[in-house]
Amino acid sequence: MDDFSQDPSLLQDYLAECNELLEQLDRDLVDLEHKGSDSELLNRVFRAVHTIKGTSGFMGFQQVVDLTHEGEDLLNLLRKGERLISPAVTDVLLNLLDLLRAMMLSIAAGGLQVFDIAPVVARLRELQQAAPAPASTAPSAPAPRPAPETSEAGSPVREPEEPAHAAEAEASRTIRVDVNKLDDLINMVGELVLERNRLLQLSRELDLQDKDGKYKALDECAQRLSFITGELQAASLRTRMVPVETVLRRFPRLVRDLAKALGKNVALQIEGEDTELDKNIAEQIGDPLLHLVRNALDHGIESPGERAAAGKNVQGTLTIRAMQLGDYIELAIIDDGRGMDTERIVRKAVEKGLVTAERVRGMQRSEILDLIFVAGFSTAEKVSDLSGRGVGMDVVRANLKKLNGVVEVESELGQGSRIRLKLPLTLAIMPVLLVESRPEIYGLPLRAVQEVLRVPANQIHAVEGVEVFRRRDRVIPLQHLAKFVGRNGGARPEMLEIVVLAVGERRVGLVVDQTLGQEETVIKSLGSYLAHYDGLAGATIGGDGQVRLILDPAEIAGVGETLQAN
Amino acid sequence: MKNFGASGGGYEHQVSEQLLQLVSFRLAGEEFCLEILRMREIIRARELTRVPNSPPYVEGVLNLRGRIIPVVNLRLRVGLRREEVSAATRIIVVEVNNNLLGFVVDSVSEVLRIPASKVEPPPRITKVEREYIAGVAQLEDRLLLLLDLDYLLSQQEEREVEELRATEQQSAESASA
Repeated sequence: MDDFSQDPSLLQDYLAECNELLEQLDRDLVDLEHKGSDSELLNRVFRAVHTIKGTSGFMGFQQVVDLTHEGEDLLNLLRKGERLISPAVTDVLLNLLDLLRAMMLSIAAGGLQVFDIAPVVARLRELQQAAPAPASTAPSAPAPRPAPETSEAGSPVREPEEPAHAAEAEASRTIRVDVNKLDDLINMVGELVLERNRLLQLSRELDLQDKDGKYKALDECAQRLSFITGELQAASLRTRMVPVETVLRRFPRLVRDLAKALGKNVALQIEGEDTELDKNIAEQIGDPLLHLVRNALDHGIESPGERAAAGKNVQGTLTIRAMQLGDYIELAIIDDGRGMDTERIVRKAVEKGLVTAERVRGMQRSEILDLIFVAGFSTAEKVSDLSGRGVGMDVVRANLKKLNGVVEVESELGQGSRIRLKLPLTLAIMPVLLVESRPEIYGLPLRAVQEVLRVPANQIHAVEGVEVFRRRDRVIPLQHLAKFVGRNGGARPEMLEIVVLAVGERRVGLVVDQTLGQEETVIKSLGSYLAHYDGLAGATIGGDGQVRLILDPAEIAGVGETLQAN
Repeated sequence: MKNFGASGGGYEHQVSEQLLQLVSFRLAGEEFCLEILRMREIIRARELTRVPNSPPYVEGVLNLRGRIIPVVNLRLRVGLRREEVSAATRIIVVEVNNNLLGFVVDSVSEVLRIPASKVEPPPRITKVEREYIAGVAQLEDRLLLLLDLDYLLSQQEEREVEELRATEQQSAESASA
């Protein structure tokens, strides 16, 4: 038996499965606490614990088996309605989960250590016996599991197996695949897409010279290949999409525990958990999300007393909402707490020298709220255990930037805050706008492009040495692409072609020689040799086979730099 | 491919441990060489994409069968004057820590096998900054300079920091002027 635990791939599968089940259990138990008794939920919980017990037995982790066995007994009574869900019951079951998690960690770290399972086991047995149903045995009975054997009426082994079968049937429609294999596949499809782009360009060029229709068949073939390649790319990317639920699974438990620790009454609502996003993004969005949820609970939602005094519902609501909007995903963290005080934000930012009082005067409300993302800003008056740990919203923004995403904040004093994370559907493809600074061509990530304008040169003004133009009551500073890429611009034309970029709340107008349309690109790394040059978001290969650089809109907008330079 | 190359090299080393396989190339009239095992391929000079705000010796990036490779002008890198691209100009692609990197050289001469014992520590008489030379081999009437690739790359970051400081100082000076 013990041999299985020595097989690394088996062990990995075992740990992956158990951890997945533990996450699901966390969530289901908290759900159960709210709903009271729900037979479907109870069955699922039971099934999960049973599966852990089964596979652990197979792997030879006896301690895990002993512990889950006790849990199963209590759950069985709950399923039959012989015991009722109560906070005490959920508490001990959550304790059981924590212990199991610790065991998994220890197994992953090299081998199962000896854990003291006695207190949890004792508590589980206590609850099995001290209950509304007639207790037949004395509480101190040393028999391992007196209750289930008497109540299960002859089929103690068969019964738990039925639900497990149901789970198996569901699982057989999916297979576990190493993510690296999918990555390889997607990378190769990316190469194919680039070659397709080249083929299309060549075919177009031939078409122009084609007098007698010699290349018609070739062109048709190229078009067909192009279509199939697009479909193949979409299909291969879908294989790596996971529901956002995999990220949000741990939050019900987390919010419950946090609210308890903070003495707050909070209901968590999760919406749109079926929304799918790239696995790589899903893996990296957990921490920023966690930080934002902690912030909302710690600083956003008030204590029940405060809420009552403000005439609000004593129970605060925290909503995590996921949805797909066109080609990006939005994750919103919404609380109905005290909201952010712009005056206080301004005071803090000026105090800490992040911005001058002068500059703040010209700022719009949204720009002021945006100050919370500047490094060195934290409004917490006391450093709390939960969210004031020196990492702030600037880290959240930096993390989002790594994922090609953005974070935005809205807040009304007394009404609550809404923080929105916008993420691309995938990291593998980036739609870009091609712009020219003769003779060079660059790409700008389309998500940052707000609009493209033609502006007469006489509408450009200089304010304190900065070129600006007015657009819908907003004064937008200008940056020249030629200057940004370190070249001298030519003579200034009478009409300027301006690409307005939006980075958070900031806008910047990028003056280009010409815009050349959109393109779906496959992002490639520039490698470590060039990794530390700022201003570049990546590179791709154009239809002509040349490397095309993609510029970083945040650098063009000068995020972080202008604020501190003042 | 890579495996075959590596095992072939290993075999070579076993049979005659003292034999070095080198590729020689020219740079400002001097003959340099690199160990063949470090090299991936040699390609003709082609149009590169310039990388904005990179040091002058970074010529740009090129697409090598789907991989993006930075290209360094070896002349500029070792402090020599730039030379116009000619029909003989080549880009030597080397592999360093799983990254590919290209070096522009004046021309590539030949593949040589020389006994390792012929390589001596570098004298102080070359035009090139001495640190880049791992050793010197005297071959009849030829002097071969063995380039120290690891040194060239390990100094990269330090140099950049220095350059950055220099430009900052310059801009600070011009600002105060």
